[in-house]
Amino acid sequence: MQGTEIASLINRVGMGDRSAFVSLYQATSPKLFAICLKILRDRTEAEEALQEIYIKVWQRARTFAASAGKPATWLAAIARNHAIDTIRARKPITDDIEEAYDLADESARDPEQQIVLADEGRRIEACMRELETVHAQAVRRAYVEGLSYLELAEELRVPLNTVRTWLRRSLLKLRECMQR
Amino acid sequence: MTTGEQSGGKHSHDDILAGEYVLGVLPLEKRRELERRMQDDAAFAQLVQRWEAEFSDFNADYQEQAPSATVLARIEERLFGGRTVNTNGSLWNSASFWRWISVATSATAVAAIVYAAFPEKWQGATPLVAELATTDSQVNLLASYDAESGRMHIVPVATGKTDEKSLELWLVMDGGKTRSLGVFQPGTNGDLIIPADMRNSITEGTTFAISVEPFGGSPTGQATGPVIAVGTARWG
Repeated sequence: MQGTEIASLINRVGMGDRSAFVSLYQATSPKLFAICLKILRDRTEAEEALQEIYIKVWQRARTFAASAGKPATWLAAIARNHAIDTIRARKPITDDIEEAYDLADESARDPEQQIVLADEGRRIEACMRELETVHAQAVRRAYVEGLSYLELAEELRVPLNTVRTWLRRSLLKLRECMQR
Repeated sequence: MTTGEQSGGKHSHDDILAGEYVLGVLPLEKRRELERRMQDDAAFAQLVQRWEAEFSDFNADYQEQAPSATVLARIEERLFGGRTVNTNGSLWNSASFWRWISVATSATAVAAIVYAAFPEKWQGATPLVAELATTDSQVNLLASYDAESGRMHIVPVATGKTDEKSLELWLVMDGGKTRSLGVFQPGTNGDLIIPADMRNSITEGTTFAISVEPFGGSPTGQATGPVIAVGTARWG
């Protein structure tokens, strides 16, 4: 289904249209369910999460166009955020993230400039190739699997502070690259 | 706007923080804190949205998988249950001939009221009213209905960036199809005359919606922009 069709369904859901809601669910639930499964790694929990996600979709559909994003991105963000919140609540971690961000500040730009640049995006894959392989993997796994810093450190067998620095520096490099 | 080292540094810090939020690596309390911040800090919310858009390419890594067929049924049960969708009691039940309502909506506010009664229905002093609940869009509506002429007046007082947009009123029919009832013309007093052939379609249970459309109205004949208000008519 085309993005514009999905967008139109979301707008109709925003008007309280139940049949549009069912169509939207049928078109998009396999993707959102995949997100839940990947992050929660448990089918029952993933199905419970999927219920909550579509209830949020129903409730938030009216605000969709206001966010001016692509419909697939909007839906995936709701699903990822819910799944990540669920897993964070399940496995509370004491992770002191309030430490200083000791990163070079090379990418300061005006907010106005940022908005214009946002439309140029779409180069994340190219920019990922500019990162060291292990850093790029850390970024991708964090996003796709919803891993916390602690889990990433364990999976990659590096100290917590190291993985945190990798990710923050990678974010900075990605931003620089995408603004080039 | 952002001059000086401080703002640049802070901005960069915020951008990284927004990226960490979107990656999902932060603990729950920090996520909650940032979500609260997004409510008030539009610049920060925009940083988050940008990372979301950029990282969305990674969503290709999620291999589609069908959930159990029972999930949809459970969602529908929870959302719609056996209950019928109902609105609150009538706020205005006066049969006053001419009435102006000024409603300013803000942050989480609800309620723009539209009178959609028709002369022949007025004799029992029961005007048909619809409460159009708005989302957090910054739109003020001034609504009135003149029973004698069959005119509904809604003066949208757009705030912020709706300058080059139009507000369009929709009739939402069974099955969710929409029919345009008209576009509110800016710079006028907000008259919107419901086409004669549409008047019979408006009755108790009719759902109205107002969306923000490109200037002059939806190019497709269906609502394309954000729906800022939706509500069901009932006998007030």
